[in-house]
Amino acid sequence: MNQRMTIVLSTGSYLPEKRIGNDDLTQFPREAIPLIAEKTGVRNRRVAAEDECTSDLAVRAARKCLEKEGIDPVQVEGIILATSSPDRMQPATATRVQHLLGAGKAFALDINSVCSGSTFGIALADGLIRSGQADRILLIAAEVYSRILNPKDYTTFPFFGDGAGAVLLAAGTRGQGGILRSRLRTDGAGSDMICVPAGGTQLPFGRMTNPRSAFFRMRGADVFSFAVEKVPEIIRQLLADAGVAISAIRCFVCHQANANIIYRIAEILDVPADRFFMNISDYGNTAGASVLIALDEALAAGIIRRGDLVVTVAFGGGLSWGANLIQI
Amino acid sequence: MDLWDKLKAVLLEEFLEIEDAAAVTEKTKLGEIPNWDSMAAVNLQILINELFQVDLPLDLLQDEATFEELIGFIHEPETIADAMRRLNGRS
Repeated sequence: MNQRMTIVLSTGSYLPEKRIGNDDLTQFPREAIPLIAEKTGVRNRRVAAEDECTSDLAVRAARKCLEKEGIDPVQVEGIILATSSPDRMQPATATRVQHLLGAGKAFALDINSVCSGSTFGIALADGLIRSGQADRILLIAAEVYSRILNPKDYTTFPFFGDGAGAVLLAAGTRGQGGILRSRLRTDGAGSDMICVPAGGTQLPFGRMTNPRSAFFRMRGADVFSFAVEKVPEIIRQLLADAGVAISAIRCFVCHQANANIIYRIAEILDVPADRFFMNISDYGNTAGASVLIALDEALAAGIIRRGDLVVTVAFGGGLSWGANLIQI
Repeated sequence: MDLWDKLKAVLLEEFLEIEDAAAVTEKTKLGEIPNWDSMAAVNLQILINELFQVDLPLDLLQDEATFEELIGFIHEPETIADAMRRLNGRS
């Protein structure tokens, strides 16, 4: 009997039209502008229109994903939305996506693993499909960080962008490729390293004494150290679990947080940097959405083809980090 | 409120990780601020400009610089050019 697997049926992405270049960030001193690209590789970012929120970006990415393979939204049985910048505190942003998409037969839920959202979502969808809970799950990752950043905070604002990515995962059988293995990790001791301090039950807006607590913050240097330690480690563990040599991986689709982090990870793994897909220069760090956007672009560009082995890997708030080995 | 009190009040708002306000004095080095890095230096540069309308070059916001030195530049902005010349002469 063929083992039930989860295969990648289609991908899609959506980036808002409005592009902001580094030189457009006039709220920062001129001498600080070149540092943005130097420190992170970010040269441009996209920003959602005034009337667009996270669910709107998610729906656009989802439609592109479904239309590519001619799938009717009513055929989708589940929607998982990875986001750390939801439309509202509740209900789940995925519910509005389900409605706007016309996917009336799909259950819909949000997950918040911050920048690791795509990799955690792939593993979760894989589990649901393999266990027979659903045959077709649409995983979407969407973020509108421009609404949760302090525009005057140089340590965060220049480095992020808005965007959404989607992947349609479906039941298949061994021999068709698919999600071969995933590894997920969390270290809650680092939950203050990347966070939005206020707005939840720990610090409601009404009890906030400093308005800056309403905005996203991160300890950049600590995040850099965390990423370059944990990402190579989890990739090695993932490939060892699967019995796959690192040389067999066609492309590493890594969270686009910082080009220098990716170069360092490639160096530690002794893998040529050009096997790591990068689009951070154009979009900045799109948080949980970056891996699915990158996966869609790498497929569209022909960098990844059917049958190729790919590693998706991400790290971020939580602290969380995760990786998936996928045969496309 | 003198210059230091004014700067410190805003520092405590800006740098949320400063948990022990009493530990930050005029003698504190910038590198001793929790999570201080080159990005945080830009935030401090903006903050000083907004508070005091003084343009402090990033080169003067080094890890070893103290708030006392910064207050000196804010008090006498004409000394900034000299400090930059000394810095460039050293490098």
